[in-house]
Amino acid sequence: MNCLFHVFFAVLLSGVQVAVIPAFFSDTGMYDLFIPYIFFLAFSRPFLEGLAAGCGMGLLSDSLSAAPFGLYITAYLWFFFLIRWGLTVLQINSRMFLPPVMILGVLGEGAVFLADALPGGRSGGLHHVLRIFAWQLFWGGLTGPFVFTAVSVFHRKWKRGGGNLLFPERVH
Amino acid sequence: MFSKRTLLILFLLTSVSLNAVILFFSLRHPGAFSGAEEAVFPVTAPFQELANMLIDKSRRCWRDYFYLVSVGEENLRLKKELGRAEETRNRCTELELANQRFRNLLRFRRKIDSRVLAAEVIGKDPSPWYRSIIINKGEKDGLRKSFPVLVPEGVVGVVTNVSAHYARVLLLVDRNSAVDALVQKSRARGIVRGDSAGACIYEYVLLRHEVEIGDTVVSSGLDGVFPKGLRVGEVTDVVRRTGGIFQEIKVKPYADFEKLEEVIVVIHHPPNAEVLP
Repeated sequence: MNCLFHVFFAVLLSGVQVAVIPAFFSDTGMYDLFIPYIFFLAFSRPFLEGLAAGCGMGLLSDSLSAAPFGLYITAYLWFFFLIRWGLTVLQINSRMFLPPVMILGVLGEGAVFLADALPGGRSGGLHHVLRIFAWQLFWGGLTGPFVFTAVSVFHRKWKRGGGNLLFPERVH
Repeated sequence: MFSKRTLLILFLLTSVSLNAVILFFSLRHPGAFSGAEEAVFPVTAPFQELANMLIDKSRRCWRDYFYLVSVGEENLRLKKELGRAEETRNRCTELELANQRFRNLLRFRRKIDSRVLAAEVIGKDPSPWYRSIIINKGEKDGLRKSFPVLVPEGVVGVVTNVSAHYARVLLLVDRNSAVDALVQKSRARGIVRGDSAGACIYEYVLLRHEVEIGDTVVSSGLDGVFPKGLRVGEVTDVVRRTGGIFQEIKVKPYADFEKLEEVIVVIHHPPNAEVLP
């Protein structure tokens, strides 16, 4: 059931990112909507399930984008591991931490992409890079927590209706 | 002296007689009592007028109320019709615009000495760091990797990934994209590369070649991907540094990548194919 849930959200988010968002933010683009989802996976799903779903979403994003294959998987997995590690060290259960965490995720992903772009010297100039970063951080910090909350709430309802067939629930 | 009954009878008789006399006199002499009538009119007429007006008003109110109900219904119906008309008009405008674009594509298609296929853009790259589009034609339609993609305005990009029914096109403005090109006027050769910010850089143009702002850059056909003579972009900036070998040239692509809706994929072009003027 959870597998279906992840597939549903992967298709939904990728559809929104590929067809809906470019219609409104064609130049700078919005932040990657999978970042709040990866946070959800790291925060509230079992490790193996989160890892498998994160890899699947990375694979999907890599297929849809012209980015070198593996860049999205790398970004998602690093973010996933960082959050998992952060959860063992810090108490980030408060909702106050959500915007900074989303911003951190957007920054991390941007850094991975920039690491690919900078050596070629064709990142579009500092002005262009800063504009994209500022825009993405703004939207990530502003709407990322809502996307995360929406996914969490939807998952709770999904669980109530279906069940957990593929991966066992983590006992808190 | 007289009883009440006798008085009443006398009064009635007198009244009837008086009435008969007046009636008789009035019939014999019409207009004899007009003075009396004229004296009464000014007193009664305003009341009559007022009463008439009130009756008329109430009648009109009643009638208008029913009219209003029907007008309200008609208004709703007209609003619905207007909405439908607006929708139809919008659809017609869209069709007209699409028709214009298709005519342009068709006209352009006739100019190309190759087999081409029209495709629709159905998605764009989710990342702002990379520039690509997804089109609704794939392997089953005859598409393969490295097929050039064009619009009447100029070069769009190249097919990089193909599935059965869809394909991804790497846009000219992506940093991983490169087109072997010529300056139309001076024939200075170089490579047009994207810089991800919506513009291109024209690399490896030797200092001794004459390139000016406003010059048109066209595909050279030497990369084996794009047919020769396709419009790529316009030179917007030229920097010649002393001591260097190459010029630093910026090119603005002719194709508007933010407004791509339909594109043409060249599915086969002979080695020496050229775009007709």
